[in-house]
Amino acid sequence: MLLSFNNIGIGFNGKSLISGLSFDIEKEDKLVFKGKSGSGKTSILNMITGFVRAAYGSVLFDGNPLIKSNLNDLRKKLAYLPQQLSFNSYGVKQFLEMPFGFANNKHLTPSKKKILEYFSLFDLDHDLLNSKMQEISGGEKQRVALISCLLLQREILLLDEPVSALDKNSKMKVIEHLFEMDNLTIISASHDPDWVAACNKIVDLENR
Amino acid sequence: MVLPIGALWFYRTGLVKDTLIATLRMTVQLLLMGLYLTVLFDFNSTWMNLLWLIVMIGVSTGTTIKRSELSWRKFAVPVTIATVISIVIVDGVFLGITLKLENFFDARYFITITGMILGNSMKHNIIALNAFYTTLSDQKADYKYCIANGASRVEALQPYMKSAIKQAFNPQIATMAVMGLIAMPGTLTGQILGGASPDGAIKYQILLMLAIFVACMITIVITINLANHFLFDEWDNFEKF
Repeated sequence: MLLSFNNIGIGFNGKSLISGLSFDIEKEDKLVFKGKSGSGKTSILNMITGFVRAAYGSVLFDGNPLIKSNLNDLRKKLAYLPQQLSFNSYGVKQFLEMPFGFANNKHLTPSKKKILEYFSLFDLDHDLLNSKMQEISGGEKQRVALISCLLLQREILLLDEPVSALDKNSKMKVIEHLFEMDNLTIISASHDPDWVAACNKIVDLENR
Repeated sequence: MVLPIGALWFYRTGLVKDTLIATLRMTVQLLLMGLYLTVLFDFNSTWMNLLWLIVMIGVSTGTTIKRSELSWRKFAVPVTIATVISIVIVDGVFLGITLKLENFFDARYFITITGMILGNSMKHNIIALNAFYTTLSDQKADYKYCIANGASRVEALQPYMKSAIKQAFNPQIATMAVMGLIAMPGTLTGQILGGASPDGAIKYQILLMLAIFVACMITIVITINLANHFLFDEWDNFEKF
């Protein structure tokens, strides 16, 4: 078992957001948390990255309780795409290269050819590489951010509303590519019916 | 002052009251300063000068935290420690090694030089703290993106540190670059008006500019690093500043 959530409760400012939630994630699962806004989808993703801690219950990673030391191991295995990224002062190329300036990722630095292959795959104009992040559309930014996650070549993708800003055509290309990768574990939060339909495991936070 | 206050009012900056209070405070404080400097210089007592320094560090810390709109509980200790370290290092080099004063705490040097360093460090620290923590709060998702995608905390915070240092030092670097060409520095002007020779006044001005630059950098780097030590938990999370 890759990750196991046992009787999890999450609350903020004295209010309970999620209570008694249990589920397991196995390697190569394509899992989605669905539910309306405010149902706790992002909070659960943030628990996996260690940005939110459970009020009660336990999270196990490879069978061991998630603590500081194995949280670092988990973070090294995943690539995380938050719902809202800014990086407005960055150029697209600078943004894509930025994670490879971190000591943990230096050995993974991609070639320009590899980056442009992803651009072609996701229908992005190659000239976009020379644009500023603040100049590109929401849909383009979402695909660029997704490419930055894929370039990290992690085993686990943690994606928060990964196709929310994409048109149908771009969305289907993204879904087709990601869900073809059998070795990849995808843990996501999404409202999108096409995305939800592509996943093999659904955790519905509204109707439990 | 009518023109700048008129501009502040016209552009609805909300700074009119603050400006009026600051102007009044400055006037009263400088008049009082004239009085207490006379007393300090007359007594020239080490203990009295050290007491003055402690009070000034307290005022500087309070002003820094208040103007940066940060938490007293979380920032009082880091700002105070950073200020003390910066003063010990810069005063030590300036007064002890460069000027080789017989009495390190001689009021005429200790009070004036330390006061100038303290005031400038405070001003730069306010700009840097504002830039660092406001940007970090506004761009929390970017920080999380970096941490979750392999960055250490230091690596994830590096862009915010860069931005804070740039914002704090850009004006000073620009001032230093044109000093003597289009800018007549305050210390130089004051010394010449007070009857000193331009030659000696210029030496002090150069030393002071360098001392201020060093002190500001030490204060900013130590404050932010020390504060971050307390602000982030072991999982690299932070709460409201």
